[in-house]
Amino acid sequence: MTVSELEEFKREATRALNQAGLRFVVCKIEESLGHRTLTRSNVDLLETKYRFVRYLERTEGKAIFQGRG
Amino acid sequence: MIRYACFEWLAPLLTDQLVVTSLSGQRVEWGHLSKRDADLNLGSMGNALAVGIGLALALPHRKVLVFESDGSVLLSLFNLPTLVNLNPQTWRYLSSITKRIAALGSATRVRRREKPIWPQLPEGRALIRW
Repeated sequence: MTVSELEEFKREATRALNQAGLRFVVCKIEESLGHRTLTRSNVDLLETKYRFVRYLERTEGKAIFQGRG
Repeated sequence: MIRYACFEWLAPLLTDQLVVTSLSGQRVEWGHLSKRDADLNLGSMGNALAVGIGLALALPHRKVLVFESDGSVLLSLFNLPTLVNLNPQTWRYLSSITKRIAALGSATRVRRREKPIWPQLPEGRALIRW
């Protein structure tokens, strides 16, 4: 599915979120440098990885990073 | 259509879905709008889709969203047929695939085992490419 308008995106993203099955949406967007004006997160990428994995451990009840003690 | 507007609309809707982003502007924009622990902002090209496939296979009960860019997908285009061939459905299926990979030691052989079903997409996960 290819979308190029925001309303189309909303419709397809809603389907992706609510329906079972793999959904592949190609979004045709306008070139933008708006992200350069945003305040960047001060969270390091490695920190993001560990935070994500600890979240999975917490919510899935499984040990992923067990450390070496 | 502006990407930031899409993210701005989408971010408040997410609850426990796992989100994987790749590189550059989309990572900055999504990181600006979403502060969830369930976000994995990789900050690299060519592996978001692969990570998303792995998450979908390992956690078939979780919804996984992958935000990719055109360049990032092109860098590892082989992930697309892999996604279709592995067709993540249940943990049992993953276990079977994993054992076969270990036994054969060749991803090519594994792909031959499965009859390609492209462009029919498998059931189970949601995926969005930018």
